[in-house]
Amino acid sequence: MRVKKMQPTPADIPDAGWDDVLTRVRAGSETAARDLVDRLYPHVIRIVRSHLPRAADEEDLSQEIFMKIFSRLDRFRGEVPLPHWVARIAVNTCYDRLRRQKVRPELRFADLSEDEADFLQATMTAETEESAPREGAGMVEKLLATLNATEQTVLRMLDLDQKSVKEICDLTGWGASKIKVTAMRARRKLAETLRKLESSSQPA
Amino acid sequence: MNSDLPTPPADAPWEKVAAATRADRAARGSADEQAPFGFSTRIVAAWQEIRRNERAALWAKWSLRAAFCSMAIAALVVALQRPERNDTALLPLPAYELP
Repeated sequence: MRVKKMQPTPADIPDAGWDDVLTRVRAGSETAARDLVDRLYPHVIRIVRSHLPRAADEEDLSQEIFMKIFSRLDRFRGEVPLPHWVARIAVNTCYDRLRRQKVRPELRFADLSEDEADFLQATMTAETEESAPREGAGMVEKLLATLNATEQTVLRMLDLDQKSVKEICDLTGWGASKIKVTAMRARRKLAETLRKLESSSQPA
Repeated sequence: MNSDLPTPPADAPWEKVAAATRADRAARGSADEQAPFGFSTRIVAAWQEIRRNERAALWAKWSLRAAFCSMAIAALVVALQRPERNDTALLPLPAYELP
């Protein structure tokens, strides 16, 4: 059973007169620029939240994304819908931020909080995906932090946002084979980490 | 999991964790996705500041180039207006008429 797709694709966002807003923004209208930010913000923040482990950086990163959008607005020729173009900028900015963060080489059972340890044990003993417990966000972030930026970006989009490989290709500019190989390698690493965590959680 | 990739077994640990995370996210919904108060104003102000700086930088760059061009033209004009070398040649010796 699949969980319903959670993150709307850029195509899901209705084309609500972007051309008119863009024309006014390019002409220097501050009102139109504020309108553009307000309309694109939900789309940008969803991407930021699904890529960024720490909520503290959320606003800072959104601001960086919007500044890039405005500085490149003159180069937007309308070959793709505006939300799609914005999504590419957002994903690449998040990826750059992830690259600057240190990779945590190993996750030990002692690094988990009590809730996360409970989540891990309950998840491992759950019969199916559906019976697994909820509220494991912190645990997942710690797991993903053991991967490099590329692996994190691919797994977040593939397994957490449930995007297709083609969508990820469009958003990142990477080839399909790179994405598939990276996903397989990352899943293997995580499976290994989870096995180690599970074995160290068992009483001797 | 994604249909583009070989499907891992449903009981794979990461699949369970990912599924639980997706369910958790879905349960939380899409709350507070509106821009915080003043966010758009801050962005637009920063953007306008950058535009102003860019315009000023552009003006400065072209002013500098114009100054160099003016100096080059001035130097050229001065060089062209220099008297010819022949002009500085010695005057012919005065001729004396003997009575």
